[in-house]
Amino acid sequence: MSAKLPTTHLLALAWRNLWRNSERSVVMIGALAIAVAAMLFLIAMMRGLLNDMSQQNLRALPGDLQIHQPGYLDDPSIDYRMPWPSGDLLAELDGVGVARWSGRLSVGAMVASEREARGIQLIGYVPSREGQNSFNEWRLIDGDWPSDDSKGVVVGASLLEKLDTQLGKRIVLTSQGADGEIADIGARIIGVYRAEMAQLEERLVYMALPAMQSMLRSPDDIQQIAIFSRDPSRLLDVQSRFQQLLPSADIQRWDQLNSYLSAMLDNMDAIITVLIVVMFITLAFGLVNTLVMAIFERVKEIGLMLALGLKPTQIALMILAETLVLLLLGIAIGNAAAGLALLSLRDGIDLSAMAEGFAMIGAAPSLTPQFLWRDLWMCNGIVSVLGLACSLLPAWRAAHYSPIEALYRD
Amino acid sequence: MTNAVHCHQLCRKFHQGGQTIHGLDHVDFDVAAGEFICLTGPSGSGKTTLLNAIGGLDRPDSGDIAVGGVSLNTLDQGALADLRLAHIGFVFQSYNLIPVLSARENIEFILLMQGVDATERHRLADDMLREVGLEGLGSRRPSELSGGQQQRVAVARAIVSRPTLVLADEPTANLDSHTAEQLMALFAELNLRHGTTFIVASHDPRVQHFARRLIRMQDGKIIEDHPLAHD
Ligand SMILES: Nc1ncnc2c1ncn2[C@@H]1O[C@H](COP(=O)(O)OP(=O)(O)OP(=O)(O)O)[C@@H](O)[C@H]1O
Ligand SMILES: [Mg+2]
Repeated sequence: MSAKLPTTHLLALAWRNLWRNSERSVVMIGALAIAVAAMLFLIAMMRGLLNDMSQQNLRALPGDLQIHQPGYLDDPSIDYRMPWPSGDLLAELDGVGVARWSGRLSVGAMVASEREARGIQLIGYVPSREGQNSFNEWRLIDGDWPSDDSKGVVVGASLLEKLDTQLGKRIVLTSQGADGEIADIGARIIGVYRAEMAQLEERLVYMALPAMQSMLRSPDDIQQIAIFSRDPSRLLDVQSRFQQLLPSADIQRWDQLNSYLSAMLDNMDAIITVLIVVMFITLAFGLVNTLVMAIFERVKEIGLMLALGLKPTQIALMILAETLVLLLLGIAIGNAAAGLALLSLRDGIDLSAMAEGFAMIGAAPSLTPQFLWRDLWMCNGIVSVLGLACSLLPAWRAAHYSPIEALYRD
Repeated sequence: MTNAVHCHQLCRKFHQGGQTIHGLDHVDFDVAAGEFICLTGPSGSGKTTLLNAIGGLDRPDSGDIAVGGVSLNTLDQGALADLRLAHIGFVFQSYNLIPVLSARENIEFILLMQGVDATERHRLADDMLREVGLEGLGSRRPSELSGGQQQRVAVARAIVSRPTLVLADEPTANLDSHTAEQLMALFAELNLRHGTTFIVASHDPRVQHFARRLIRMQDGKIIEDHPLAHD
């Protein structure tokens, strides 16, 4: 005789037991659901933010080789600046390996029209050196790109719309100057472009380098030297030559920049795992308590089942099944809630209300959460496995009741 | 022929508050297959303790018990559970039904564990519900049944799987005399028709009326053991 309850009956029993103390179960399922939903949402937001940063940096500021001050890539602020190349560096830049090069500025800033304000990325470049077509793929739909001595700015069409202004109107740009003080300037909108991503269109504002240098009160400084090599297969040589010339500078190839950013993305998995586990530990106390209580209330009944001949392993399975049903409900509701929230925000979250603060740290004015199935499985998997682990002790205890003591306990 | 139950020098002591209570004190007796025994005696005399020992729910401190010729001392918990499931029907004194299961599901619980298929289970449970007078109440949960009705469900569960030995602890408590007699008649019929062995702990004279042997206990000892003659 096997003394086994068929799985369907085990689950049915678990289901009914769960609703015996429906209030407690609802609270526990609710807590699980909220935690799972919050986790998934937070993860998608983190991924979105990172994505944003990595994509925007390379697309907005292309270059086969990029020279920065160490630290700039982690914190692209005006504090990491360097003078316009001269001497040996200039000679090397103008040498045979380099097709063309230029210096750039790129800082977080705030732009305000008469009606609206937003956080943006202000890019200063030398139009005559970059050549508009190779600098970026954006399509000008109105006005002109700046000339080297122009004081005007070129904005994206959707930013123009958000600012509720027009070509030819003036806007105010505010950022942190090289001296650490507020730096602001009034500038006329001289051009409007379209990018294929609204996110970039809303974020990137271009102006001629000299105008931006004077705005930031750093007349000769740049943050980035972008180099386009003549022969892509010789890029490594070019890189090492510049590294010899500038031993302390941070010199990266485009593929290194990519992997630098993707390394940050790789770390994300570890960070996310830790986050989920930490979140779960706070929940675990409630879960263990719920399960222990549920078993404690049913001592007699468990004793009865044992007395009738049900195997201790089946008792343990019954408790595990109950936990599983609880976890699955919490996870399902949590996934649905996170799904709805992310779906409703798939066009991005408008952070412009807080733009003033964000502009200063160089964050995007809008954030699009990025959902990955991998994150969903990871979150659900970790919660299920740890949840079941939490039920092992209560299940083990229940399985080891002595039938007679349990049955005749007062 | 092997005895249905064999008890030899059973002792079971309980320690409570520095005192030693003799739950069972050198109990010796044999039960032949097909007997119908009424186990009686004052409260605290050891009736429940004896039934639990026979059912393998509790291990005596010393002495031997054999059920159907199998010595319980040699069996581990799992084997004892198998023995109960396959051969013994229980009616417990206080707590009998699983609250989340309906009356019918409680009756079917043993059959389910035994692996009896669904149609057969339902048929047996229906028959049983009718026999204990609970037709139409099968879908109620224990909390929706009276004490007497719950008792009848417990009895139905104890006998539905046709065990060879039924250990019933006060099965007629909570029952009116008509229902009590009905249940005892059911026991007697099973006993006669299938040779099921019954050991029924009870103070109830109606049980003695159906039983064919009386064992009286006091302070953990058997003080009286004789056949009951009926006209
Ligand atoms: N787990 C236990 N711990 C301590 N003492 C116990 C325990 N179980 C039984 N006893 C004691 O053993 C003695 C016999 O108890 P038992 O339950 O067998 O009596 P009983 O004949 O069934 O009584 P009743 O008619 O009231 O059901 C009693 O004195 C009781 O207090
Ligand atoms: Mg008793």
